[in-house]
Amino acid sequence: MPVRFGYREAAHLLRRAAARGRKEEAQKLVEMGLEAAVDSLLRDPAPAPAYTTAFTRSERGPQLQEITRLWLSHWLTTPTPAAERLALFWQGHLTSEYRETRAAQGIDFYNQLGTFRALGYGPYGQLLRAVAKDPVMLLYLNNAESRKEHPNENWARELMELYTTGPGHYSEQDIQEAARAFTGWTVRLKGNQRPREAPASVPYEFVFRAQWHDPGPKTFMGRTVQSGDEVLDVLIAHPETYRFVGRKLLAFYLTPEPPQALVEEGAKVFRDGGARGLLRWLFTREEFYAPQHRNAIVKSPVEYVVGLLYAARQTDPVLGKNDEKAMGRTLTTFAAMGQVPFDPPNVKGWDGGMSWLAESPFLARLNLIGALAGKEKGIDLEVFMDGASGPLSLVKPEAQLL
Amino acid sequence: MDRRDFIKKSLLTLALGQGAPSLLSRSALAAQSKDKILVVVNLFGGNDQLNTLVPYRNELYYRKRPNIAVKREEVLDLGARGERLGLHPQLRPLMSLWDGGELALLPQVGYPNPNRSHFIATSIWHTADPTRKEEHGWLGRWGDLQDDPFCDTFLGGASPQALQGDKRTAPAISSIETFSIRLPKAYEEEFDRELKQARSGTVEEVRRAMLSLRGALDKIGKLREVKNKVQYPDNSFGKSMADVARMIAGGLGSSVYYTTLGGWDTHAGQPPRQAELLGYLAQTLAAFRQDMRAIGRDKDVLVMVFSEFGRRVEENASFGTDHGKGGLMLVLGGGVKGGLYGGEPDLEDLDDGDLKYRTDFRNVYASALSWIQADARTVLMGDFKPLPLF
Repeated sequence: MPVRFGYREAAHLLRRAAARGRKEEAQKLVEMGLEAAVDSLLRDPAPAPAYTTAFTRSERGPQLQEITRLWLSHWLTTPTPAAERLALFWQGHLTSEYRETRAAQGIDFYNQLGTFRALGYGPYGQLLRAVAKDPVMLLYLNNAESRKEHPNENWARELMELYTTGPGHYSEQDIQEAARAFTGWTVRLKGNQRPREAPASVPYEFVFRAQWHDPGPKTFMGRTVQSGDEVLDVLIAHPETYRFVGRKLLAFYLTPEPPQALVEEGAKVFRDGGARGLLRWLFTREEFYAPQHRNAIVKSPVEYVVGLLYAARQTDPVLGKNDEKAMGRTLTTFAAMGQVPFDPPNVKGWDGGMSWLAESPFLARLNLIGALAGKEKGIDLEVFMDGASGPLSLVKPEAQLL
Repeated sequence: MDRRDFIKKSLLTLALGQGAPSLLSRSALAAQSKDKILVVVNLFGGNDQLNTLVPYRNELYYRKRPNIAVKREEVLDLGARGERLGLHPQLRPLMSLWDGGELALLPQVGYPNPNRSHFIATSIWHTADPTRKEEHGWLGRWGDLQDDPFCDTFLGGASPQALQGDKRTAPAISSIETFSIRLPKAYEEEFDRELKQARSGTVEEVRRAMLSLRGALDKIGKLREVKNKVQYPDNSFGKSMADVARMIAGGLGSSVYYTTLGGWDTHAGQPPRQAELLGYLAQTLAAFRQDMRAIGRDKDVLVMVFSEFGRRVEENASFGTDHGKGGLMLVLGGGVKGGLYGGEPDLEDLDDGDLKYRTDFRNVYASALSWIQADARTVLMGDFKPLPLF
């Protein structure tokens, strides 16, 4: 049965895919028809602006403000906003904490975001291989310091528990053997510069140090392997990887507890067609538009802010008065709402769901409405939320939902 | 004590006196004493026991940790009651509690079949169910039996699993100071109108969150005038505990306060990081205790500190330690019987490189529950003998 694709469905699609939209865009999608609308939303991402900084390596706070501003203003202006919501997904899945990864600079985190954007739609294995060599990840989960004498297990453990198969499909032994395989995967500053002397715009890059690597054979998941690449081969071929990560994608795009049958089918689609294949499959299915799946996801603070500012036609993501301290205040507000971009609370990422609406974070996002004072007139909430009838609707429950 | 309280307390006494859990009616349990207060601090990330409560008279400790061991001359000696163990130097602010017999140290607390994943281990501690079948938190289950929406309070962004029950979840307040609504009048009126419209599905869940928020705004607003009697360290843990003290002083009425201090996952560069965190912990707990004394509640408040696991005995090649098993708990307060609950760790008899656990955390939870006069057997879904901590 063909999916009915009218204005309501188009608004729902736009909100879920991109977390931003206005009335005329939803209307345009209706005119295109479902298939073309989905293809248009999922086209290759437009390039993001480059980042350089005048701040020094010790001034990490201001750098975080800069990259947050650069990213969110890109999200607010790009013709391909769906790629940015997907990049947010990857940032919450293949996690690195800005505050905890003290050696890495704004440029390193911005480059990591670039990887999520560039490879986010493609085969998951390709993205995973890139992230395994991503300097921020190597620094965050300490593989950059892992040597054969006594391997560091942090990356090996989270790689399996959080990034591929999920718990229950490997042993402690597998973790220790994988950790051996990844010894020697480390980082250096570009051009081999010294951290003390280099400007903050000089990024880290991957380097393999053979003298740190344990070259012996390892028994990993019942196979004999030698290198970290071979460990990744095993995990990329593992069907549980696609069930586990595919399920997370469905929870992010469809409903927090996706039905098992969809998870099973989705895992196959994800394995064969990457995230783009999965999203294309999902967005053209009837279930995606079913009443029980509408208004089923709580907007994260980043999605809430992007959606709200876009509805108010604001392209600079500062909250409140736009003075020189604006971006610092904006990040404080994000922290109060429970989501600082580039800085998930732990390696598992943001919990999401109703936890965004616990008393304190919920209050912080409601108080944002005050910052819109004076801009209410032009605000277009048609895509931002279901059932809007003027700016006062922002205190309706639907305003919190995607 | 008013009449209602009296009746509830009598019911509780009756029920407890007969030792029959079936007699513990909902209303009796609902009438927990507001006199006693439990404060739980969750050190997220896995605090390393061996560098906190240091076996500094054991040569093997120094051999297993040639680079990251706490230097013998820096360790704070615990005297005869501490057997052959000492404290990390950053814990100096807690020494007066130890000397006064008000600090209990519980090494190697864990559970059968330990798990080295942060999230699984945390969830086991939060649900008090090592078999991982239970989805609700131990205090959430207790909260389900209470009438007061503020029977427990979380200091932070969103209440963790420990405080999530079937029917309710503890309110989450990240700071008293910022907890006020700043909406233009028309919006606030509309907000209050929306509260009254029952909905369905997730929309209804959001409306309920709005209702909880409205209730919390009314309660917390009244605490803004309450001031601390002492200075707290200027970091987020210090601020949270300062707010707990204000909530107690201001009569918010929670029997349980819960907060977290993260950053203990020291896979690399452990010594400076752990020292920094132990300093935050000790300074704040010392300040909190002083504050409680100043308001005359020191004997009523029991603080319990835990982490999801301890760490590997041997250091790794990046001056850190990997995930381990049984970890150190601290229990402190004016009503606590201080001392060491468990002896020196055996560094030779290890479980895959980790210390073996000796005390089940549910025995400690049972004591904590009895402190607030809760029925430990119902909450923990089994018989766990309380540790004689008070």
